[in-house]
Amino acid sequence: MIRYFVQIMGSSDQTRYTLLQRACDLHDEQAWEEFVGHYRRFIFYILNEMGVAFGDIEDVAQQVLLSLTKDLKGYDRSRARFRTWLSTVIRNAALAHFRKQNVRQNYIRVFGEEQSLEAMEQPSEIDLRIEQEWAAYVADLAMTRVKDVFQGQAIEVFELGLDGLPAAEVAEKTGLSIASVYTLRKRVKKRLYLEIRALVAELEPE
Amino acid sequence: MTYKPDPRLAQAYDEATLLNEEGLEGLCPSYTELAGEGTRFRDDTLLGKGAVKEVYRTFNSHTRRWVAMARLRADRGPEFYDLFVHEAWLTASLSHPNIITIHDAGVDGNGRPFFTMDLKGDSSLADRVAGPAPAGRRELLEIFMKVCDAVAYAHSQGIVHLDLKPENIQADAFGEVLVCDWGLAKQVGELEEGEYELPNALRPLDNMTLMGQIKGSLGFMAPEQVMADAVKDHRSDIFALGCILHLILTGVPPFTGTEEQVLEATRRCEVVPPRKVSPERHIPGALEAVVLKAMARNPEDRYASAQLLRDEISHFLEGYSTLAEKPGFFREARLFLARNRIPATIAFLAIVTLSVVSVLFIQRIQHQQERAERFETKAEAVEILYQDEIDRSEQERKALAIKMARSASDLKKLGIFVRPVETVREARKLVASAEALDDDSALARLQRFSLDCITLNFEGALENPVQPHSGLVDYLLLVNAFPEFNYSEERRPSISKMSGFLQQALEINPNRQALVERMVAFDYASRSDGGDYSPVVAALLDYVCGEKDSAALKYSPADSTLTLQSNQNIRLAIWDKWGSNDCLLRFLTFRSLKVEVDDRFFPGDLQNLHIETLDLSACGELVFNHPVDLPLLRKVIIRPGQVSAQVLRDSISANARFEIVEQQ
Repeated sequence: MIRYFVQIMGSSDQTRYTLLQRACDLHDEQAWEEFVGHYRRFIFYILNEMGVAFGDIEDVAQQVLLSLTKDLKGYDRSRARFRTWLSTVIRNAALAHFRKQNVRQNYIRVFGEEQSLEAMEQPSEIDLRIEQEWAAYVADLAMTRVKDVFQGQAIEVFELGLDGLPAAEVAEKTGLSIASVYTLRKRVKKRLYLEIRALVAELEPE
Repeated sequence: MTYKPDPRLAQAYDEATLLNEEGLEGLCPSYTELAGEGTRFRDDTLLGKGAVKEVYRTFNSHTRRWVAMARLRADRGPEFYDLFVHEAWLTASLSHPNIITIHDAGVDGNGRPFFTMDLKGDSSLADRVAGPAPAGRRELLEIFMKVCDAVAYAHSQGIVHLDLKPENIQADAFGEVLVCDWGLAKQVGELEEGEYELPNALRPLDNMTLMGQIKGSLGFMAPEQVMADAVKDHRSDIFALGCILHLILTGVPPFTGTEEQVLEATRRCEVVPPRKVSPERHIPGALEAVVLKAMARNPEDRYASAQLLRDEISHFLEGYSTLAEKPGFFREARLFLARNRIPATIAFLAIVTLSVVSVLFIQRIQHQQERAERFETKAEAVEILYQDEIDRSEQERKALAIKMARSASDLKKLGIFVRPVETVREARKLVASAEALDDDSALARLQRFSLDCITLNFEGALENPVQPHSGLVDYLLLVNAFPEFNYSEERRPSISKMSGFLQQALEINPNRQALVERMVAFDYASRSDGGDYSPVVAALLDYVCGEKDSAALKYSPADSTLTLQSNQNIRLAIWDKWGSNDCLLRFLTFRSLKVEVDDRFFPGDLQNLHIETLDLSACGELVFNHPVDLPLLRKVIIRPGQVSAQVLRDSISANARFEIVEQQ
């Protein structure tokens, strides 16, 4: 808990390196491995969603990872949120791939009518989608961590709540009191948010 | 592992990173709750109503605890605002463990003042004196001392209460005492003139309408408080403390009757001495003297401070004479102390009082409530005897010695089977005290002899043998047979020696079953080696049955089982008034008992055994002449047709329902 507290409340004058920065700037082998581990699955997923052929995903993903590390210096927080930037990088790599492949129907399916590269500064539908996917991805990673922390019925209660089940029904289903349902839900949610914030601090450079 | 997104979680990311309202609520729900609380106090219930204020139980949603809140009564207007605020400020200025703590004061949404304070249990000193479960005198005196502490502290701060009464003193069963209701309290020297001219309707207290400037509660007020021009100062509080002490001792308020009668009695200071009010309570003279001094009509004659009053009670409880006792007596007592060896006695008695308390405590733990209650009156008797009669004649001193020796005997009788070692230890102290008071008290010597016998210190018993006419003279048969026995709590005979002694005791003097049970109880309790005790138990059974080899015991500590075989009407408990009436097999540890008695068997003899299984199937006739407590019993095994289930259930009481198994 204290660890997260420090990350959330940490004073700004203290230089804090995100995982991405350590992976890129400090030539930290371990950080790089970790970095790849965290982003790769997401990039694979997005590329697959965008229709990149299965056999090509590995290559394109490699391109994305390289771009991420190479362009990090160019990332300007004041101009775009990290996930906007991330989606741009992924989209650009996919775009370049499709161009090379000249698979027009794919191109059209994903991007709609052809746009100029400059137009990418504007968030398009695909950007928004990627951003949403990133949010879900981080939340999912966080949830994986949360699941390690809780025992008993806490997670079950929380997920039933996510499904929109009212507390009374959750209570009936789990055999807990309504008060316990509220307490467990609140506890898991709090932990989830703490984990999300911790992951954001790790994965999204400032 | 391929990643599959969970769309339900997408929102969590935005909430957690952007920290909008929902995000904050998820991340720090308690903070959100605190920030969002509109009303700080809610769920009021009225606890009580006074002349000026109403006290509510209310929930402080900011600190999340229940507090007591005082509000000005709805029918009291702005004329009372400052009176109310001053009470809050004055009380808040007092910081003492026995004075109610003010948390906060303020003005509510309607512009009316309020203050909050500790919310305590709902028992006041009045309840503790006369409620359904009144506290004992000692406890009440201890409460009283804490009240004195609080008042002494307030006086040291220049504040007088002026309305001390049992209803204004909260006293719970855990020793917390709080003096409340400082509504009439004053900074000493504060002018009162301004209040004299108040129109009737604005007088802060209802009873002010009685007589212009009467404030405070009738019945606990000093004479000067019902007189217009008299000075009311800290000595008025001393008088009220005297009234409270009077009530504590007698159980009734010092002034009773109609309002007019009480007023008149107060004005004239007609105090009936506590011992006259309640002669049946045996109120010590020393305490009565304290009451009368505190309630003196002339403030000059009262205790000069609450601290002095407190010290008097403390001295009394510690066993010293109090200053309030008349000087003549005091001088005489000093001479008496010089003449006699009383200081040593006092030292002993202090020990005895402590010991008695500890024995009572042990007994209470053992749920021997009935026994403890009977003894408590004895302990109190000893204390009062000590307090009141120590200054009396030599003859009375001897009588006290006799009473203490009797107490030792009673204590021994009550505790010997419950806590043998502690009981013997405490009884010895009582005997020593009795001997210190009267070194040739026959009864004390008899008790010493008896204790030596129980502990098998026959050497010691022979140093002080009983007189030939004593009822215990036949103990000497045993003592003389084993004059070398000099055992004690620390040093016990070997198990074979113990069982050998019991076997021979049967030959020498077969008529002392209870003594023998006490010897074994003490031996068993003070023995630290874990050897097989069954030879001693077998010898004890022989003694009780008056016959050798009355029963065979097959004892297996490993399986926690015991089989008892006998071909006669064996008895397993001593049913006279000096015995424990509990089963003699209790000196062995086992959970399962099989009884194989060819002849008649009395299951009532198994009283209080901690067994889970009882197998009676190999018994001849079962005679249920006593109900029997087997608290842990879960299973009884019988032969088909041996005894009806109804009879078993009626005769055996266990903590839970036990099963009855029929077995050939």
